[in-house]
Amino acid sequence: MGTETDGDSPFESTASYEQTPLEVYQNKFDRAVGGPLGVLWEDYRGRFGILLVGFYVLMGTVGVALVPQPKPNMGPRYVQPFQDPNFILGTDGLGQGLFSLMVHATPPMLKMILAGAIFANLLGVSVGLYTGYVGGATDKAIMSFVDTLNSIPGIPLLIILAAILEPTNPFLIGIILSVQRWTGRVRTIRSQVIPLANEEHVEAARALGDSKSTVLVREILPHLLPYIFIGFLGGATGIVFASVGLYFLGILPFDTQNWGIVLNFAYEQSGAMYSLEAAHWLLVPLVTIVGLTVGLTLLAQAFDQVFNPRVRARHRARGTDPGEEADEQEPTTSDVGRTRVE
Amino acid sequence: MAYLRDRLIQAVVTIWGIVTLSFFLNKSLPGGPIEALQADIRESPFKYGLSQNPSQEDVNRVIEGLVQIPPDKPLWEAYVDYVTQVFVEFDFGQSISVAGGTDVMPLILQRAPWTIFLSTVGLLYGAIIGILLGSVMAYYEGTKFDIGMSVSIVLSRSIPYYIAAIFLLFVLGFQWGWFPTGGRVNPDLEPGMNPDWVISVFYYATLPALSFILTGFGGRALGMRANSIRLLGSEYIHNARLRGLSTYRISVTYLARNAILPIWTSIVVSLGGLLGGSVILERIFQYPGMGDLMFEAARLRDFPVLMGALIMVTFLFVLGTLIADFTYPLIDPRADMKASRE
Amino acid sequence: MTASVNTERTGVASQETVLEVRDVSVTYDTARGRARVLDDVSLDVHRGETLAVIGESGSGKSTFGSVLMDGVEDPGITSGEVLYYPESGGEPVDITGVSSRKLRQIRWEEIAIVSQAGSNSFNPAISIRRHFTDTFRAHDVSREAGLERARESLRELDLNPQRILNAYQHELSGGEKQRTQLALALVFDPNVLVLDEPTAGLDLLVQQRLLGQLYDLQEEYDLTMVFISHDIPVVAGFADRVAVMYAFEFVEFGDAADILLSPEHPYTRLLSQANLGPDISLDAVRRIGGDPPDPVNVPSGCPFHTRCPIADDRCAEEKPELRADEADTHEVSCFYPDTAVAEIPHSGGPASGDEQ
Repeated sequence: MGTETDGDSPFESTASYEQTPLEVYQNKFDRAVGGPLGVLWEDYRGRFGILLVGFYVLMGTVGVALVPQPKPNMGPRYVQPFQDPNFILGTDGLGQGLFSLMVHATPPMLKMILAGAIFANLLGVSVGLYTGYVGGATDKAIMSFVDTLNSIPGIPLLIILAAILEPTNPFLIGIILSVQRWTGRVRTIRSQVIPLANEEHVEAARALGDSKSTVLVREILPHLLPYIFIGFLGGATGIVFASVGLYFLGILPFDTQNWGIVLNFAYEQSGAMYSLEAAHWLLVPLVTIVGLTVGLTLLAQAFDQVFNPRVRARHRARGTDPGEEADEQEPTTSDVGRTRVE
Repeated sequence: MAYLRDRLIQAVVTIWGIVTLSFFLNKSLPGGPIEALQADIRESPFKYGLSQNPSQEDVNRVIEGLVQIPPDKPLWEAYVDYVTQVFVEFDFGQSISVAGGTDVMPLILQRAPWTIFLSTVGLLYGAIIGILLGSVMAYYEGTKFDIGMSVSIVLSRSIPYYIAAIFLLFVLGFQWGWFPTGGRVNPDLEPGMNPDWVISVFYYATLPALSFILTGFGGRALGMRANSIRLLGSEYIHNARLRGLSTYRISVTYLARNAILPIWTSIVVSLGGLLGGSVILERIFQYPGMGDLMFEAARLRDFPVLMGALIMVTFLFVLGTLIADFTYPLIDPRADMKASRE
Repeated sequence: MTASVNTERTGVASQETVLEVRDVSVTYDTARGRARVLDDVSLDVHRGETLAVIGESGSGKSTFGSVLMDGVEDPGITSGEVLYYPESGGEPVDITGVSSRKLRQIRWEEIAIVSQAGSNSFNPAISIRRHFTDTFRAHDVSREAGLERARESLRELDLNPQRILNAYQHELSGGEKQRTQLALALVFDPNVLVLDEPTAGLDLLVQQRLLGQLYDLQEEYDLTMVFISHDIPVVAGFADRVAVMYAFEFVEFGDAADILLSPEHPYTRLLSQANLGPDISLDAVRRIGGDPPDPVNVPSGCPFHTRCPIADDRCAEEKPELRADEADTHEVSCFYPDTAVAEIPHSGGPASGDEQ
């Protein structure tokens, strides 16, 4: 932003131009996503994460078209993995190819994640934004409600809801799974909004008469993008956990196989626990599930590394931050023999 | 003191909230308990001790006995009735599934201690291991040990606890036979506080607790590590060293003591996750606790039990958080009792 | 080492050395290169004197203070020797090379430090009393005897022992914290006391009071004090000798009166100009242009040449050594001290008169 000084005193100056909301967002996007994306790739965790998650997304989109639908008796039962080229991961007790099972179970999972994460974030962020900004009695009331909901342990609540509603649509399931989750988002977002709400540019916008929503969207929201991103990923992991868990318990109704169901079958029906022969029926979904969650977690960790200013500052101080040009002096914080050089 | 008072009020509000929620779930959701009951009673009246073609009155009476909600009374009255029943008489109604319509409350109370036991064991051990590990990691920061541990922690946190449970059960329980594969205590032993029995209880609880511990310790460790590292550069630590204090003294009283503070409440909050997760865990290990009760109830659509268990679990969680809040000032002399901790 | 009150005053600062710093450097490695926060520094501290070390933020003076008790921690590396003479005419000990047990006996019992007024030397989770008792235990002093001494120490600084010992760090005001730190540092009756910006951030009245107490304490305990500050007026009435630091080394050094009234190094002269005081108007204050030196990248030749008004080519290439000036009143590291005196104006004398 350029400034021009008025002739008389250095204290009076006007800005040369104003940023339109689009430019604000573009700017933020570049700084918040574009740049860090490159850094993410550098970080081995980010790279792994991107690869892993990308793999699953591929499985769920392209893979579904390429890999045949699982059906009972597509092949002999209990084929061991890596034996038969037709069934790379072997077959289960019903003669279904495990690889097909895994692949075709991915789209519902992805849908659930999407629906759930979007729902939780949408609700959580908007409520968090609003209540953090408004403060006062409204804030107290809303937070009381949020805290109450937050105090209900997730799984029992989900069980009850699932038992009552018996949902089958993966999008709907995703939303239900997030019912408890969005409350956590509210707290996080709110704690970020509170300090921001007092900053100058927000005050300025308010003084200029901008409506509340304009202020929220233009001035505050851009700063929150990093947290929203990370929260999105965290929520995704949670949804995978919860959905697999509930399917495994048999509480959620199913029409097609998915990871949790396969686990369920393996656990209950095969005696896979007892014998090594059917072990792969158990282990394949296990590994598949863990693969996705590990990928998501790695991504989240890498994001956190990128966005967390305190971590970055510490790295800068130690001189170990990759690609950070330190033009400030090194010996400012606790470095040289833990004494402060003044 | 004001802060604690707020927390107490919030706790009460939460309990009230969950009871209200339970009431509404019972009453209003389509496919909800009351409707289901109505249908079921008409279909098989004998199950409920009624003769063929029962009158509406009879049906209502039965429902009221079971769910504590008379279906035809006006909303307000029914609500007040319900709430009084719950709070004053601790009467959650009667189980649909258990023979003879046993009262829900005793059922739950019978199972609850086991779940509490399991959760507490998991929590305590996980916390202690995590804290110790985190401190050690901070001390050896940057070494292979630290890095290696960090990586394993990332992995272990990505694995849902029930998957670890299945895996542990499979390997350590069935395949290698090191640990029992179900139940909570050796049925041949005389129950009571005798050493054999107590040891057996712990023995049976090992695998379930381990599942929690192995997947949960990482969070504590990382938090502890981060806090410790942050504190290591502090002036007061340097000062303590200059004064000649032993490494042990510094690690415990100067470092760890302060590093724990931020994670204290989060440790107890994780209790909620443990209580909720007990549903799946107890199912996997055939551990007859409250979680298992919930599972069975969900399967049989036994709503009174479900609701009762939900309320109980929430209550336990709220109790846990209150304990955390009330004990925090004991360890942190700075605890600002006046303002709300946001 | 028992606690005892030294009632004998050995008079004004002797010429006898109590600490000898020889060619000490402190370095540590960063991503950008090796940082040198103390550059081949040598200095003698005389028994019983008050030595002021002056410099701006980032000049290395705090590191110097640390070095006096070998207090520089990883990743900093200390090279060189620091010799400590325990008693008059005794054998010196190189504290940088001594065993950790001996070091523990020297630190706090013989040489103690009080850190910056803004920083926090106290563990927020434990009481002040605990700090004292922990220190006693570490030095094999009985708890009762130690606490007796602690109370005495606190009383001397106008603090209520009962209240202070029971308090936690956050319950004390800035001035109280500093004085408590001082009491803790003096509890074993050390010979040398290093004070790193003890008055920074305290209000004027509190500052004055603290300085007064320091003066009295020095008399009573025959302390040698190394007083580190960026604020010249604070040390003006107090110091026996002054050492000026710039770019991690000493650029001027000598008797206080000399250095403060007629400094010869351009930096010292400019420094006096840069100080604000009640009788200096805003436009008279001249800032020293340019940036403070970067420990990884110290300017070639004379480190001050990039900001010096009288610097020439020689200054950019050759590095001046600390050596006695013509009148032999003090040591300067500059090629043109006379030019400096002639061309750079100097507001002579302590600005706000902190005479004790």
